[in-house]
Amino acid sequence: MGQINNKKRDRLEVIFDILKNVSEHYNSIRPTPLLRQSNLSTGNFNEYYAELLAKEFVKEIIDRKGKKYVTLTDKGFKFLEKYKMIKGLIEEFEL
Amino acid sequence: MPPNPEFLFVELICTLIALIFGLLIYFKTKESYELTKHPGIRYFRDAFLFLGLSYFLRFFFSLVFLSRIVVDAHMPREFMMPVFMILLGYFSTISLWCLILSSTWKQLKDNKSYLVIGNIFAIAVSIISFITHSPIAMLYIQLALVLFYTVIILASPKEKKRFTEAKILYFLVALLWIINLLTAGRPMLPREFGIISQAVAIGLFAVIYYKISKWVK
Repeated sequence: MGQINNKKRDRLEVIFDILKNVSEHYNSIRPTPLLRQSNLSTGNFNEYYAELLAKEFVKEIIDRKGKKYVTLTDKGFKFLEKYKMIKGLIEEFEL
Repeated sequence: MPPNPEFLFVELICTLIALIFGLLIYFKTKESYELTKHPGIRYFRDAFLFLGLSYFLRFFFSLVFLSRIVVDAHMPREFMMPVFMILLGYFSTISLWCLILSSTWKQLKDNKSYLVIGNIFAIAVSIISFITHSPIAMLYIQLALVLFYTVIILASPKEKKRFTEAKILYFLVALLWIINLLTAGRPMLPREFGIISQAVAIGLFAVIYYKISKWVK
């Protein structure tokens, strides 16, 4: 789960990998393991994470014990679903 | 000698189809852009939106022309022409600029400022067209843009394939627009070239739309 290859990933791939990680953890993962599995530096991860929150791809949920979890929103699931075709479109037209 | 109404009618149909394809491409890629905010997708869809609008202005121009011949209705050309020049100058220049940016933005450091430069450039072209009351300046500037794009393709790193299918498509779309412009107003080429170039442009738009539809359901 959450396998991330080491070749240089573009922005879209990084977003896809982070969202896929959340999805593969039954749509509920703590931020620290997500950071670890994203294969990014803390600074880079925080940037992406803030972007994902701002774009409403993910949201934070606090459980009864006060622990923070990350879950995908409908928009996040939609991104995962459409990622391949968007990637195909970008490659086809060299965008 | 003005073209016959049948000829103008065919031209109207062609420009209308080009406009529809431009809009179809724009709206078909809307969701992809909204989900990703990918700059390349943005430039690509803007290019076809503005190109569709440019073809619409050609359509509108022909409509004014046709209305006078077919129904003897007189449109105020003194008023229409400057408006036509300003809008056509802006839309067509920014569309070519976006088309070039869509495949070259990754090579540029600060690609956001290039869009600002493109807008300033397009406004300058529309002002020049307004002052000169002629599409000639617009034509030469846009031709220079197409040549600039050719230089970019030729100067791309050797390890990358220079003339890819996408780049050839963009180049042809831009070139066909220039040929189309050569037949506008007082034509520098026979009007038949305008119809042929528009028909080929429609074919290219259809190919592009088909390729998008393969990915975007």
